[in-house]
Amino acid sequence: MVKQNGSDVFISLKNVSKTFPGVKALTDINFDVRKGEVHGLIGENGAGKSTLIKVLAGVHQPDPGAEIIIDGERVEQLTPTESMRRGIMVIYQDFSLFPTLTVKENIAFSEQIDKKRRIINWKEIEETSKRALGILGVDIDLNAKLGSLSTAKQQLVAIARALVYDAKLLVMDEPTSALSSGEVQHLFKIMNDLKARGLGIIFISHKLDELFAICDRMSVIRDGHYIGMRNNGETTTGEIIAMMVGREIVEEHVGGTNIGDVILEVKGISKRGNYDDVSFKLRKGEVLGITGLVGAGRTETVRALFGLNPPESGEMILEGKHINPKSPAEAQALGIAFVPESRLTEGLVLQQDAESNITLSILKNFVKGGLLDFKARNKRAVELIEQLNVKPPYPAMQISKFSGGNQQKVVVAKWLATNPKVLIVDEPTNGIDIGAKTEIHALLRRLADEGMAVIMVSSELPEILSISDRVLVMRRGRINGEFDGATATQEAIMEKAVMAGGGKGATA
Amino acid sequence: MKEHFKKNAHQYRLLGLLVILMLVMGALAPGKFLTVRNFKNMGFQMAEFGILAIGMSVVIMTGGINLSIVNSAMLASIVSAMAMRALYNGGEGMADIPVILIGLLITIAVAIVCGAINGFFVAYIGVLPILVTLGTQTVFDGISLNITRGSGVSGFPKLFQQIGAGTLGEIPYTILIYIVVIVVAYLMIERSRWGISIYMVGGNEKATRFSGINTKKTVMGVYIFSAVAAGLAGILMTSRYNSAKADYGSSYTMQAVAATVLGGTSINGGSGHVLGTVIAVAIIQVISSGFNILKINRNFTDIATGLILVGVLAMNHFLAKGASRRIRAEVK
Amino acid sequence: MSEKIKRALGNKEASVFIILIAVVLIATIFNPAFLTFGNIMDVMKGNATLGICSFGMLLIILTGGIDASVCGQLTLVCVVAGKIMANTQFDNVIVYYLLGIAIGAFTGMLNGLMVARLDLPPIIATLGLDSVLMGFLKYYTNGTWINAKELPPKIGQIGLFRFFADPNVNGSGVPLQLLLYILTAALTWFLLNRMLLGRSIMAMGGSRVGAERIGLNAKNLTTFAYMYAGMMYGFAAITYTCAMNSVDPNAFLGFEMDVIGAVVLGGALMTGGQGSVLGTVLGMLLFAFISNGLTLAHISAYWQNIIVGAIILLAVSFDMIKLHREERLQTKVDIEPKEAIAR
Repeated sequence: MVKQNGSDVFISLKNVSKTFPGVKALTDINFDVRKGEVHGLIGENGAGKSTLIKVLAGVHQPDPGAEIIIDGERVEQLTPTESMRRGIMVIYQDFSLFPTLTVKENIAFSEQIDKKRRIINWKEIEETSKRALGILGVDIDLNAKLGSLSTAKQQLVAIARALVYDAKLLVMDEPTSALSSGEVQHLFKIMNDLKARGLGIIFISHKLDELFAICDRMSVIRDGHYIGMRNNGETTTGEIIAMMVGREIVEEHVGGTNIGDVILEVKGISKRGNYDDVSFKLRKGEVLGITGLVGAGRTETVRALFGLNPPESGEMILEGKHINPKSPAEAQALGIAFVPESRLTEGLVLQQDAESNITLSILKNFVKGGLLDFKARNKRAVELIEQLNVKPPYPAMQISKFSGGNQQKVVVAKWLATNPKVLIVDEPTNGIDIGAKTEIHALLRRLADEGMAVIMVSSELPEILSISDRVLVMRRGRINGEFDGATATQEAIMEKAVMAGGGKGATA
Repeated sequence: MKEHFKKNAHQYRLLGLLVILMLVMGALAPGKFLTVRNFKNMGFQMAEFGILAIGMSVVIMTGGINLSIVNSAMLASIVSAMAMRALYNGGEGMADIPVILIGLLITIAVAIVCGAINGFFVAYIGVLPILVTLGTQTVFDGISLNITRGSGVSGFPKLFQQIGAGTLGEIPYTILIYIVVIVVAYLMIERSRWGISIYMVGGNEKATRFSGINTKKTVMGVYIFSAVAAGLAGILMTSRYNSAKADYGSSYTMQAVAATVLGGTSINGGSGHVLGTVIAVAIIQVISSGFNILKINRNFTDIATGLILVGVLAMNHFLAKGASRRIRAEVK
Repeated sequence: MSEKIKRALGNKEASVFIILIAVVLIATIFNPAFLTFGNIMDVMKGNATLGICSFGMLLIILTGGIDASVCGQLTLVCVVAGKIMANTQFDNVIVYYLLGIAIGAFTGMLNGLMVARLDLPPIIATLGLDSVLMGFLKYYTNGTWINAKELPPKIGQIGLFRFFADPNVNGSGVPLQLLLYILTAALTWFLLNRMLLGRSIMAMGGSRVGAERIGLNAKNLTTFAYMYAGMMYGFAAITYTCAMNSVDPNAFLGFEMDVIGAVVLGGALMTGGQGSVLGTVLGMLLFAFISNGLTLAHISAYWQNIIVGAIILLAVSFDMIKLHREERLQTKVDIEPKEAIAR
């Protein structure tokens, strides 16, 4: 499967460094991609993956001393046009497509630009786009508006667009982040076809299972350094993780010490196209992990508890009383707190300072004679910043200038301030560094031990297993399995996440 | 302290510009510009526009815009003027003070209705503010024209004129009213829970709503506040002209947007200060009065306002660019 | 999201068209004189300026911008051309069209540079230009008209010109203004649907980052959109001057609102990338027919404002309500049917 023949190398980078004013983003990167291989590129956020992509795309020029060899020929300066001319096609995470244009234009528009067609040649567009979709072997209405397609189809369009040119290397930046498991399988099939045609593919992903499923080789970068390369089949997830983080961290499972009575009971709640017949109980002092694949309905379910996605049927009982919050404000009044998945768009007001953000949920506590008591607000903000160890501890600093981990701490702090009975966190450590991650895990555990009930939605199984007392696994809108956090294994959970009833034979 | 200057740099820059303009005008028209009389005159004119601009600012802070602000002001004034005329009945009817009080109440009530209509469409239906207020602009204007047939409404108690023309010593009542409005607006916008929510909604509506704040109510309040401020400005105008007419103050809408943005409120929302708008209004007033004294055609005020608006924003753009370059250099 | 948004967008023109038909029917019921050739021609003549300007505004709105300087730009061309006409009695209208287009291209370029190069918010940049232009024009003209007597006779004659006119019937034939309107519509349609330049503007309006990644120059495209708008205004201004046979420096106060209204009624999204020439034509017709229908139904001009404003409000609200509803009902999770598990 993996050819060792050096002549099959399509591109090789030697001593590629990239310095931005003040930051060395890449240091002496050496790696190559062969024709007809899928090469996984792995690294945590901020490891330098996107800088590396931009070097390949010709957007960034590497520091002097670097060597880029494409098809055995040394390329002096890789500009965006030169990169495309050489067959390097980048599919960015956001696809960079045009929602209001048709599918065929999205695919073939850049060709028109290149050929300087002042007047659009529709016949050419039609033919080119048909040809490109033909290579993929998919059938998409050429005249449909792109914005009307599903994410998975938009992605296929993005791939088709890359194939319009004589693509030799496809760079895919987190292509699966918005796809369902079925769609991922389809994408992998297409990637294998392209591979068979001799294309090299750089596949960037966070998800180790996917990397192991599709890649021939995997390279890990960390802090801008090239850590190493492993052949698939000759390595383990543990080893790759160790390379990513610099040490093999297996977070010990830490269970609850103070689990009390049931505080929240959810009985058979359903909402069409969101979740179906979901029931579970949550106890004081407990961390309840909810996991499953993307699109399994986890976020939709917990949002129901926070008044954002109310159920059409079923019951929710908090401390013996039926509740049915219709807005976050109502949910907050009931003692429910929610740390949303996307802290940048849903969690924070970015141009404001840490203090304003941290106290946003409890503003009414500072009202004195109709006006806000800013001194009291500042005092509370300082306390919370200290309590959560937000760094740097400056309440007046604009929130956008904090690191991701500290931003997330601010969002959590905002909700802790309300003294909730139930704290729901959705992907609490998404895209934050390992240190902050550990801190947040410890914090959630501590809060539970102090009597709070915590629901943690996460796709990362190690995270789920490290602090959950119980684990619910969702699949296609329903709860498909429940595990004891102390004894569950990743494999058992994954089986429930991908297979109906966890039974054998049925596939997703 | 340094933090304070940094945060309010734009306002200090504006204040500097205001002082320089005053000194320049004073030097160009010695003994005419920097006089009590001129400042009194400026006071009479500045208040109505200033109050209107504050009403515009609060909407822009949420990332919206209120194109029907002047039209709601005039509609409120006209309805109230008609009521006052009927009640006063050329001196045959009720006494001055009850008539005026009823008139004020009606103005405020109509303004609240106008604001609530805008607020409803923006906050509860989710239509873009520019489109909502474009529509209500035509509607409010149409109603005003319809009930007045396009002519002015007058015939109020003599005392009513005092609001816009009277003075306390050397200080015009209008300036006193303006100061009260500034203080109230400052407290409401920059010191109250509702006010802080305005900035938050302007910055990120979703995150604010997710933090348990009823953002629809906040926005609704903003449009009502804006319309009430407009109503107050309408009262001052009605009193100054001693009549209410649909097309009074039509050029104020865009000027109010200009004053707001000049005052440092981002058109995208989430920032801004009442005092910034007040200083910007003063700058426009100084230019206009100065030109008047210097016998420069009053239309040059518009030209100067436009140039200053674009100039100040362009300057901010370049300063921000420079600053980010400096930050990068510092990191290095 | 997919299916529904597709329906909402794709059938946008269709729904405007249905409303338009309804307006025509109702107006005809109230006054049969509405649906007569002569009346429709008069409406088109009266609204050609609005229509031509709306194509310029369409391009700007497609970039996600807005133009508050329609009044200033139109008036500038009217006044400059009018003054030259009055002072020189030179009456070659083609030269005036070229002049108008050149002036418009220049003022439009100023807007474009402020927006694209200085990153000023479009509403502020255009507002600034408008107050500078209007201030200058008010000063220069002192608000006085240039009337028919001062203009060369040929100007007024061109304004009255109709194709296929029966000399015996007053007001018969197709007015020149309608033809000019159709000409600009065709030109704008060709630009937006057949030319790389126009498609690039559409693409950029939908995704600026995407456009830059495939090598489009967003700054130049934006500048061009404002220039094109200016040229349309220049063209419209000369057409208007001939039709009116006079120049009124206050004629266009508040006119930008009508222009924006027509474009938005036609289904363009203020956020950019979405909008069409067909929609804009329908939007303008809707605007014009409602006003004219109300006039013919002997409803006062004051009521017309109220009704037109209410229609704009309802039309945009309807879109939003539909969108919210679709968002709420959108399928986010592909729930497996229960039977599948039982089996």
